[in-house]
Amino acid sequence: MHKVWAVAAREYKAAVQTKAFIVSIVMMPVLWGISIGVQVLISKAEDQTTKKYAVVDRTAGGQFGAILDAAVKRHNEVEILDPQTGERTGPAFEIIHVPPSAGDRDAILRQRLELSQRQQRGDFVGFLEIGPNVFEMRVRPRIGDKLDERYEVRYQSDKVGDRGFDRWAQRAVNEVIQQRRFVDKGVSQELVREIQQPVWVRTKGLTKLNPVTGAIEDASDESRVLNMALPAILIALMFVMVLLGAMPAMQGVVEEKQQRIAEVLLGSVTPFQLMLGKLIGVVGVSLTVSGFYLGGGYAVAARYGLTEALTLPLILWFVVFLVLAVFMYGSLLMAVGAAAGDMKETQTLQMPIMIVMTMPMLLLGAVIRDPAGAIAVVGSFIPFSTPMLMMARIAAPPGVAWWQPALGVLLVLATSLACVWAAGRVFRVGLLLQGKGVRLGDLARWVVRG
Amino acid sequence: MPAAVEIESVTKAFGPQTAVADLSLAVPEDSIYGFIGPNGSGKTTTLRMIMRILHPDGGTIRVLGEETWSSVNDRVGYLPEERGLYKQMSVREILRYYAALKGLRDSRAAIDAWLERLDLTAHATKKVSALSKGMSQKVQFIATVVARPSLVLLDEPFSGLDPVNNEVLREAILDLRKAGTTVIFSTHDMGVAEKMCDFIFMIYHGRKVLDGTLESIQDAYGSDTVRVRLEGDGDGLEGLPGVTKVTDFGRLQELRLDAGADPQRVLSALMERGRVRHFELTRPSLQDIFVRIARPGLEGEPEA
Repeated sequence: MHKVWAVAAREYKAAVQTKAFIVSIVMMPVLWGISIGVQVLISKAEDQTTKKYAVVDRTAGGQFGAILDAAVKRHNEVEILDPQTGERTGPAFEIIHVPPSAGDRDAILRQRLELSQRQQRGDFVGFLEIGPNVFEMRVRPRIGDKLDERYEVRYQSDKVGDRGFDRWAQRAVNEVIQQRRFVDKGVSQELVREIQQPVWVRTKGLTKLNPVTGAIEDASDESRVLNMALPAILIALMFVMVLLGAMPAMQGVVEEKQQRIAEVLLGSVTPFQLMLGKLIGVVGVSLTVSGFYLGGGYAVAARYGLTEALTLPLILWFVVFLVLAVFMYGSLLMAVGAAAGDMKETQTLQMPIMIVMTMPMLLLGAVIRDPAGAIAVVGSFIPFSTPMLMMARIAAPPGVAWWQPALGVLLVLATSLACVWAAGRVFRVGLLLQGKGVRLGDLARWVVRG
Repeated sequence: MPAAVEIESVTKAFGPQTAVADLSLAVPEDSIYGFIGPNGSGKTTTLRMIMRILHPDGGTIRVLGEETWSSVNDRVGYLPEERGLYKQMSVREILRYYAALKGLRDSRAAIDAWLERLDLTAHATKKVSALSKGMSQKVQFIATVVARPSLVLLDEPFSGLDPVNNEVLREAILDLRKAGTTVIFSTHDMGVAEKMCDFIFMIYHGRKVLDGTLESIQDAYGSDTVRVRLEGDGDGLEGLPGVTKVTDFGRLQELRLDAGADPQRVLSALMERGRVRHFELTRPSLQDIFVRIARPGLEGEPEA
């Protein structure tokens, strides 16, 4: 064990003494900050723009023209302004009225083509087409009924990312249509406006009892944001920590192989001791960086009074799962390093591992929406995603029963041991192999035959 | 004398290629054992198997009396052919690390003594990347012996060293033997092998072809070599009766005699061709034996 610790100590020192390590500790939060800042700036800049949309009104006499203009005016002058600060929170709209074509199918198609081409040229962001019969009341069509465009409003655009206008148009057009229908039935327009006045739905976290003062504390706006953000932050942190520790270790193995240091080492330690020592070193590196980030995160949380979310059990679970994840993924990546002849070759060989590693990120949305749902539960018990997804589930309210992460730890522990064992075998064969391209099949064979 | 290394019927193949075939060898304690053989003949594979870096496909290897490796690992030092040092570590750091990997916890005094001995004290705090090739080779040597091993395996220890460092290293190896360490080293320098080794082992195409003391090996070949120097340029030695091969070293010519050829007759034939300044009947050099084995086609002799 003394030798294992000697390897671990060297790996740890070699990693933390590099400039890259210091840069990553300092730079990563800075880069994250910058990227968030840039996104905020871009969306702010977009808020200041005016977007043009074409409208083809096929109702008799173009009954929407004036009404839509009024709605757009209200949108631009009232709706997009923050009621407290008066700041604009979204882009303004501008309507280009396009006279409708003749009502036959061919003419309509030709006009749509012409408008589509104009949109592609950049004349406007999209175009809205209001069917001629939208004011008519009819029974809600049943499933399977043939759609009738004359009773519908359609919005066409290839700007898939632009989501503001179609939603706004749906609301604005429907308000107008409903008003018309009420008025047609003899209800006064003022009364309809009053009836249609929307009520705000405000989304919050949970109200809590303060254990110290005994007072009931209403949910803050921030707590809900935190409920969403904390699982995501912890998953991302774990992902980055594993990579930050394991990637340099993998490069280190490649270097040891290229510089023929591996043979010297193998003259003194077994491949398993070497691998174990390196993994412990990587765990040390990951925990060191995590310490910095969690400490920094705690300081930020304390500043906003959100420290209650970062509980001691949460941090302990994070450490446990981080250690296991480093062992699991680190051993596989090191096996890749031992098998590859150079850094370029590692790119191909590490692909499957990276895909498995990013899986939990893809499931993150589902897990946060429903931490007790089937996807989340099953995902958090697949050993390769357990560390990240179980962490997310622990962090998302209401949390999970203690036995779940405990079972998860057992599963990951078993998998990690299997990975370290398999990787150790690849390690021994791969380290001495020079100048031969290695494929994934070779790795599997080495694991089986040793 | 008890054996430091006992190899019995060891075989190792890499895929279809046999690297070592049915090899048996006993290296006595406190001796210097030289491994010779052409490139790719199986020297390094044998050394790696003794070090348990490679596992033999068949046969047994006993090192320092033990078959299990974990009990003797720390008592064996290994200098691989390709030198491996972390470029970013300082000389002292890397020596402490390698000593720790051999189970030596307090290595400071031993490291200082070796640095002094090999004239590296001034470079102790330098990074490995700042060292010359010869210096890093000496550092690697210290790393091999710093933990006071009972057995050291040196794969080509002298390659790439200048004459001064060569001398320093040779003395260090001889001192190790005096202190009771068994030394196995491989070399391509037959002169070094002749001068330093108590025993010589030659492997060719994975098989043992020579094994014993220099004298016993040379005896097996008999006194079939004549070294001569004639006045003049020494041309025109071909066609002498009973001479199968002439090797011209410039100032000296080496003649290999037929089995049964009479040296006296060669001498008289030589005297007819010119003034003989030097005539010496001798045993073949290790270099000559090596070449006879490794180039059988050119030598007109069967493969040993």
